[in-house]
This record gives sequence, structure tokens and C-alpha cells, in this order.
Amino acid sequence: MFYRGAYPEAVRLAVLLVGVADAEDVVQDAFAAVFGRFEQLDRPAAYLRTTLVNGCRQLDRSARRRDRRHRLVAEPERLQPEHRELLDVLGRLSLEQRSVVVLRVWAGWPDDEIAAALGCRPSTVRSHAMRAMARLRKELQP
Amino acid sequence: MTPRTEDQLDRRLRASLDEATRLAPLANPEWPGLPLAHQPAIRPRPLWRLAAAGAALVAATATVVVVNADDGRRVTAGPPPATVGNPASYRSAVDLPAGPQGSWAPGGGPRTPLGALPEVRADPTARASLAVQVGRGTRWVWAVAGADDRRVRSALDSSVAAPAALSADGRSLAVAFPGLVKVVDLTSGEVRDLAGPLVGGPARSITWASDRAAVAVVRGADELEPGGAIPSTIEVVGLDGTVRRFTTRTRPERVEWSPDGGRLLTIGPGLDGSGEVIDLATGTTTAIPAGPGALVGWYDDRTLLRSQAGRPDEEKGPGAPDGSTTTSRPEPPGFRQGAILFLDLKGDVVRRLDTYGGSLAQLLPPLDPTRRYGLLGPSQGGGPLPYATVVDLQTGVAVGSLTDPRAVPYVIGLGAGTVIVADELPGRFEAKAVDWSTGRATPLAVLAFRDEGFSFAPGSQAAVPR
Repeated sequence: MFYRGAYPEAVRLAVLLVGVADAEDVVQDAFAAVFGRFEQLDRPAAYLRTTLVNGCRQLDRSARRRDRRHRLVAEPERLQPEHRELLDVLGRLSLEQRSVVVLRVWAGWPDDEIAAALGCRPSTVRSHAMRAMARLRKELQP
Repeated sequence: MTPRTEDQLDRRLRASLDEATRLAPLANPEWPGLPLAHQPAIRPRPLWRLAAAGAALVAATATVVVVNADDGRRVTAGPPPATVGNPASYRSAVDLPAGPQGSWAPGGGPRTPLGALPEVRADPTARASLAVQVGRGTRWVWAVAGADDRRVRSALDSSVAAPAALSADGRSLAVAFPGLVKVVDLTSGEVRDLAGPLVGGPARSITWASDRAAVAVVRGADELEPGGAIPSTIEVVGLDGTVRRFTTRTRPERVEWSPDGGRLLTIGPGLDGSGEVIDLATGTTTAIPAGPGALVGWYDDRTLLRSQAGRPDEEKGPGAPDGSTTTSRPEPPGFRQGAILFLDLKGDVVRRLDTYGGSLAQLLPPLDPTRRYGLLGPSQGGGPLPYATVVDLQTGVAVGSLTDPRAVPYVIGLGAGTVIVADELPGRFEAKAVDWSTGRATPLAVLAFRDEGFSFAPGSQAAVPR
């Protein structure tokens, strides 16, 4: 039941963090980690999200070593130009900055929960957010 | 457009991110390895991922966490060992008896297109009975499709609409007219006035006892008494003609019989989850206080079920079992959680089953005396559900899931490896058995109605014109 309820949204989140190519693999790994200790968890959904964000960061590190960029959508040509433009900028942000933007704006997480998932302080989350938004605003200038 | 303000940028971000997720090729959101109906195939994965997914499947189904409400101690209900590591044995471990069995009584007001109130019973020998109340001009006709002789019986004809119920074996139809209960034996066609004249105004519902020895009728005027109370009468009418009458001021919509037939639980009409337990032997009534979810029915003779929708940590507040209040935390959309609360006959929580994938929408008929099954879905009541999971309420183990609302508008029961569903289509009703594994639907009965009359087709037989 947990898998069924949480899977689609977990994949969507992973798509926005590491792109379509790796999203499902990261999600599968996160579920495997959660179910290994399901009985001990007070809030498995929260644990899943933290595990998922951690998995995305690990993947991002290895992708950067291989100089690989994340493609957030499989077929960008199907997007309207304004979505394509924004997602292109978003894909070029650091994972930390992208995570903060996605988790804050799209998933609606509070800063302290984002901080817990990213392993940093809430003040760092805020500074990531400020820098990310400033860059988005700058790059989206006509 | 260049975003000028923070809000504009947020909105544009949300729109683009939504668009990106919409285009993401989301694969099967089901448990890997469990073949389900109407699902696209899971794309192949490396072997080690399959092993991890298999472990996830076992864990997902095997470790439903149960919290003891008395001391907050967490205990875990596990499935039979046969399920471990072998998804193929997963369904058989549930040990369903052969043949489908189910019931369906969605209730509610007149339905399109002909104002019918359908009732469906499928008995263990895979035969189904359907009863449909159809308005024709100023007349109401209860058309019953009996499984035995494949003939449509126009069971009753009346100038008023009234709630009706098929017995669990599908062989009797009881109709609660104002001041009268009629029972039709669908085998012989005999119509009996069970008891009458009765008082208490028009009936709101009628429910058969599980042993088919009595019906409970909820009646009540729709006018307020001085002081604002709306008294309702619950009549327990035995097939032997005996009538017992109980008065309640909660104005219930319906009652649920305890499995042993010794008590009634009144449910509704409000959404505060309150109700009453009526002990038929002593006549005493115990109020079940409001709680964080609707009362659903009986788990066993001493235990009631309450369905708590939403996230457990969000639902805490006034009326919660522990009385605590916590700040709700936003979850990303799509995480649907809930809880099934097991109550004693005073309304105190004695066990809790946290659920993911919806709350307890309805109970399914017991297939054997030792097990109870419930249907988890995103909303309560008999209606089409976008997704549904059948769960064993004792162990918390999921029997299977269905996700295609076009194929499974109403789940009414379980069979061996099948789920029994009822379909309401333009001009006809169908009961069919859907195989969990293949999604293949086998018709059990079809009741079609046309201007000139009704036709009924059991199984895949052609319709027999009346």
C-alpha cells in the first residue's frame, strides 16, 4: 500500500531533481532502503523523501564526475518555449539549488524539512534559494 | 514573459515543473512483480534491482505497522510465511474459498438514466442476482434478475419508491414500503407481507441480517420535533413476523448488523463519525462518540471499524484518539495516507492500522468466518473509485489492487483470484468477476432494460427477452 501510494509522486520528484533517465532507478533504490527498516520508522513517507533526495545527490555527484548533465524532460521539443527555457536553466543549477527550488516551490516542503533532507542548516536552504531564484530571474531576462 | 515578482516567478516555476512531470514517462506505480489488471508493463531492470524490488514488495505487504492505542506500543502484523520472497504465492496465501461472492448496495438517490437503485448479489457458485428499481411514469418496478432460471422477474410494482435489499444469497428481495415490509422469494416468486402496518414514516434504508432471519429498517420523519431533534425508528423485523422497535435521535441513514446478529450499529447522517450500538438482547443503546473519521461497520462481534482519511499526523486534533493537536505538515501531492481504527463497543480505539493508498471505503462480505476484508480507496461510500486496494483487515496484507475506474466502477466482493465488480452502463447493469492477474472480466449477470421491458443474461449467455 505504501509503495503504491508513494511511488508516483516519488518518481515525479526524482524527475525534477535528476531527470527522467535516472528517476525511477533512484526511486527503486529509495524504496528498497525504506522497506529494509519499515517497522522501525515512525514516518516512512518522510524517511522515503530524505532517502530519495540523498540518492539524487549521490547520483548527481557521480554524474558530475562523468560530466553528464541531467535532462529533466525526455522530449523537450514537446514543451512550450517558456517551459523549455525555464527547465533548461533549472537543469543547469547545482543539485542543491535545484532541490531547494523544487522542494520549496513545487513540493511545498518547509525549510527545516528541506534542510534535513539535504543535510544542511535552514539558513543554508534560504541562501541556496536566494541564489537560485536570482539566477533564474537573470537568465529568464529577455 | 519575464517574471517581475517573486510570485510570478513561483507561478511560472510551478507551471513548468508540473509540465515536466506531466511529460515524464511514469512507469507502473504498482508493486514490482505483482501482475495487476490494466497496468502497463514494468520496464525490464537489472537482476539486482528486481531482487531489491522483490524485497520491497514483501516488505510493503508484510510489514504493516500496527500501533496499540493503549500504550502506544508498536506491534507488527505480518503475513503468512508463504508470502516471503514469492509473489506467486502471495495471493494463494490469502486462502479464499472458491467462487465469487459479493454484495452491492450503493444507496443514494435516483440514478441516471432511469432512476434505478441497483442491488447486486453474487453467490459462491458464481451466480449473480441483480435487483433494479426503475421508475416508469408514475410506477416503480423492481426488476430482479434471478440467477437460477435466467428469467427476469418483475418482482414488485408500486406507486412509491422504497429502499430494497437483496439477501446475501441473492434469493430474497426485501422492500421497505411506508408502513410495510414485503419480501419476495425469488425462487418461488412468492411475495409476503412480512409485517405491517408499521409506523414511523418512510424508510431510509433496509438491511438484511447476515443469517437472513431478519431485516432492520430505518424510518424517520423529515420534520424536526420541538427542540430540534429528529426522532428515528429502527425496526427489526424477523421473517417470523416479529417486530422490535428502537427509537434513536441521531437520525441514522443506515444500520450495520454485527456478524452474530446480536447488535446494530447506526451510521450517519453526519460526517462527525458518531453513532450508536444497539444491543438487541437487552435493548440498551451505547453512544459511539464522534471521532476522526466515519464509522464503517463491524470487524467482529465486539469490534467496530472507523475509517480515518488523510494523514495520521494531520488528523490529530480535537476528537483524535489521543486528543493531541499537532501542526499539519504539507506532504507532496499524491501521498495518500489514512488509518483504520478498531474500536471497542464504547468507542475507544483498541488497534490502529495505518494505511497508504487511501482510507477504508467499504467492507467486503466475509468469505469465511475468520477473515474480514476491506476496500481501501480515496473516498468513502459505494461509488466509482479511481483506485482501490483490497486488504485483509486482520493482517493488513493487501490482496490486490485495481486502478482502472472504467473497468471497476464498484467493487462488491471477492473470489478466488478475482474481484467481483458491478458496472452501471447506459441501459444496463452488469456484475462481473475480474481476474487480479490478467484483468480479464467474466460476466456473471447482465440486467438490461429497454422501453418494452427487461432482459437478463447470466454469465456470457445471450440476453433473454422478456
